[in-house]
Amino acid sequence: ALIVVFSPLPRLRSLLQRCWGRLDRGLLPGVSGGQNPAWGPALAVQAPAFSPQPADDSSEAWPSLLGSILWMAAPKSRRTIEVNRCRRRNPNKLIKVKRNIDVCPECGNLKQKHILCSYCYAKVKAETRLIRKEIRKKEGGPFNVPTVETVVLYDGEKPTEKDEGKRIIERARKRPSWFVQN
Amino acid sequence: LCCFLAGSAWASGLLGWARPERWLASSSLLPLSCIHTSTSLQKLGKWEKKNRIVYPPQLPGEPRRPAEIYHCRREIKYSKDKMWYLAKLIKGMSIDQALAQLEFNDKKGAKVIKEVLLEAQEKAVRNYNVEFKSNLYIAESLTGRGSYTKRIRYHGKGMFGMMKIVRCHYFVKLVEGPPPPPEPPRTGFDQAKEYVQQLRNRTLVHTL
Repeated sequence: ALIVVFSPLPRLRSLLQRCWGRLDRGLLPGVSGGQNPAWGPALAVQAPAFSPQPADDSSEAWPSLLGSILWMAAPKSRRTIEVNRCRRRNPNKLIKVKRNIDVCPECGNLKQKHILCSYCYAKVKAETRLIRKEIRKKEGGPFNVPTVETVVLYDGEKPTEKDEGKRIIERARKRPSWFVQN
Repeated sequence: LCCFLAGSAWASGLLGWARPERWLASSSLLPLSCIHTSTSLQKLGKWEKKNRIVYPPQLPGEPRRPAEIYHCRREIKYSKDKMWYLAKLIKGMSIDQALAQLEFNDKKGAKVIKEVLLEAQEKAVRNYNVEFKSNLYIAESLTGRGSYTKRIRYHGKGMFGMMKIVRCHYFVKLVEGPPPPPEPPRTGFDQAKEYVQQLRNRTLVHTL
């Protein structure tokens, strides 16, 4: 809970008083009469009987502070624990049971129907990271991307006639089962 | 003259009731092998002690009592109210279904509860003679309030408020066997029937 504590600094207090005074003057144009002709229609709320005196200090500012917050919405009584429980345990606030969970046919982990399997995706990500490291080593710096396609070859694979003009990236491992060679 | 006896014999001879080895937390002073060298673990909570109850052996005709495993985790850095929603979600589910639901839940407590369930499943198979690790269901799953610490939360303009760092405990009881079928929700008709039955059960007391 927020406990607003008024520090004993006199500068802060006078600043607050001035702020509240400005607010009061702005919120109660009807009370101040013809002093603020710039303001539009009067507020249709209950205004307190007394008007804040800008000249006075100390005690006068605080009653107007309390008076000006009379028209704000506030809870009338404490919400009982029964009422609180009814709200917190309402079925719309309980977590719904998900019915779109399946088993991944590749690795056997659980996956959601409309999302890639996290385990298989992590494997693909790791391999892609290593391929990109190889590419970075081959390029040797920024802005050296060639204008041809790239082909990734694993252990014991030779480039075919289709891969004539393409850039070859070598990876020193067996071809993973999920990475199909064209 | 000093009649030197073995330490424990001397102690039991002098003051039968006092055992100096019990007074000392660590046995650095008295070099005897019979003294427990380890300090006692932290005070066990009630939930942990529930694992220790031993039932008398079952008679031959009785149906087999299903295994019960109590497990908990203390002082989780999460709110007990937020954790309650997860505990309510998995109450009454089989352990596989509960793990599946928690895996795809985005809350912080879901990861913690998943670890607790896996630990409990492991304990069940290793120590509590459960045959199939999938043959468990969650009979009870509760949250409790942990220790709260109060700290200052700084606001603007020199204001401050006191905030609470909340922690919670999570308790789970796994029981061997398939999960029980969910009971149908109580309709108004059932409530009316029960009310009428209550009225019919009334009798006159202290009469003939």
